[in-house]
Amino acid sequence: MGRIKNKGSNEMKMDMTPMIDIIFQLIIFFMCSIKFKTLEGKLASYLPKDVGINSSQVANPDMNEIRIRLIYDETQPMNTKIFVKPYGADGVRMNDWSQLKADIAQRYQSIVARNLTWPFIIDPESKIPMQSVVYALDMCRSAGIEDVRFAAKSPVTDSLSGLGDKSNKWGK
Amino acid sequence: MKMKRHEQLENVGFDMTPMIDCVFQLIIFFMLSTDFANTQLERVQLPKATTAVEDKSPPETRLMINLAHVGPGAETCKELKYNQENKLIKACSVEKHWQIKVGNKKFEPSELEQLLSLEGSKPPGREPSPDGGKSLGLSKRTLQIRSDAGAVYQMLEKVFAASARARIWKIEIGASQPPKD
Repeated sequence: MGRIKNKGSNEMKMDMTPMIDIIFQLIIFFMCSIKFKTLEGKLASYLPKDVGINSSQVANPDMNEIRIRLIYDETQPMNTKIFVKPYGADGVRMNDWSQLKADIAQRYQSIVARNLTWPFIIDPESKIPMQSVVYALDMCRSAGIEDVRFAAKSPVTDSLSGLGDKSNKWGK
Repeated sequence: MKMKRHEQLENVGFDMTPMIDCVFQLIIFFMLSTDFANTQLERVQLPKATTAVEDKSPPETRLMINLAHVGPGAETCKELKYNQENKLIKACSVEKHWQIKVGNKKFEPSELEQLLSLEGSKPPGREPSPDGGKSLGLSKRTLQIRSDAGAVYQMLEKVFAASARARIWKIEIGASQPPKD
């Protein structure tokens, strides 16, 4: 009697486990790295070099400068009143942010045309949010202005230590 | 006749695959978690600016101050509302809701000046003082301020004032590009 030859099963099964492992590894890696890749930006600015050591009041706050004053006012539609004050002139009220943008660009062109190097000083009131401060800085940068500074009150003397002047109440 | 019993030799192999998988998982986990531990970045919602430049290869000596809205009760406050070109901005002026962090350490605004004076003198150091050493020379270090978009200027003002008195004048404001419509 002939014996039945047990051929056995020669099915080739592909082991999927390592492939799935690797795919999971890759998914985790890309998930994490995409999250990291949201690079942040920055806006360079400077504080005045010649201040910080002397906390005395500045004699003449009307330096050769263009000052952008942001004042919080909840009764206004924008909640912010914007004034631009060039040297030797009264503050000019801006109706909205787009007017400020146009005004900054125009003033900068005029300053460059006269070969002057006046800084633009952003002088926000204490309740103005950072987003609006950066928005004003962004407008100056868009106009090509390099020398943009910030005004800040000295906590020691409650007066100007050269960072900017808050004693004048123009624009109120 | 007695038949010899063939003992079947089983090939006892050690499957390394799961072990290698686990080791890889651990390596990736520690790589990522170490990266998180070293980071100086606090979670803040940066203000948007179209002219913000990508912060590629920042200098190792750069100082970083984070101003985050994390104080107790901070989640629901942001009581000030602003209309900026028809976009609503919420801000908070409650000082205790804001935390100043430098390299994972919390600082009070009053401690900032001392910290910045010390940090400003670290390498690459300061420029020579114009009055022969009586006052601090200008620091060569850059300070980056990463502030939440809803922080009010009074918080920033303190950082700026402390920085100016510590003679750190190179400032970078952390900002992010607005989403492209």
